[in-house]
Amino acid sequence: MALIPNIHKYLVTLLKLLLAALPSAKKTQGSHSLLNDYDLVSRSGGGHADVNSIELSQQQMVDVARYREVLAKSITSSIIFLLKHSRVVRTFHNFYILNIVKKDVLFFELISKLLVDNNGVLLGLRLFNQDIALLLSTKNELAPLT
Amino acid sequence: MDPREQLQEHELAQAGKSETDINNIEDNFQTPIFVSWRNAHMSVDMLRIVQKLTKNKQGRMRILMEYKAPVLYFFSYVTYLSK
Repeated sequence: MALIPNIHKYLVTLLKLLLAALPSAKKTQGSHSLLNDYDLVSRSGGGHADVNSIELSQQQMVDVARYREVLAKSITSSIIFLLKHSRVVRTFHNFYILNIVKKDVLFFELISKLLVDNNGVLLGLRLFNQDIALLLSTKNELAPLT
Repeated sequence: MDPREQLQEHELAQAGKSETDINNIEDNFQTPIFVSWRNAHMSVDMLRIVQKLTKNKQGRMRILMEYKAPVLYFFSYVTYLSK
């Protein structure tokens, strides 16, 4: 598997993106880089100016918030998919240990250790320290075009 | 007054109350509360990740304690006790 030698890079980038995309993130360098990404995506490689100097309209602000929500949701679900997959792989290869010799027995431990070392738990804590009811009732959707 | 009659009256009153409650609920359903499914999905996934990471790991649960998350710590402790 080519996943295992590079898994630490992937997890670190995922967690960095998640840190920038979480709604509790303050205006740090991460959120700035996210805004720049959004700008690149929306303009499709046009004239890329500094986003912080441009005043975004209300519609664009809602779109940025929605973009961050989509990022956070997809990253958390992919992390949980990785964790579940590693569990399944581990039990599977323990079961058929006689047929398959060299496999990733401690894949789950590796992933969980990487997540904990890169403050994956603290990200969750930071999310749940704020008001969850407010988070669930925010509406970052635009009306459909008619 | 006969206690049976009292009970019947009480039941009738309860029935009337429930009817009005149902009407109120129907009125409330016309203006539903908005829930952003995306944020709900994200927070549920985050809880599952934290639970998976801290299951049967004492040191990782101590991280939760140090950063003052009593609710999360309580849930992981309950799952630890129920084993």
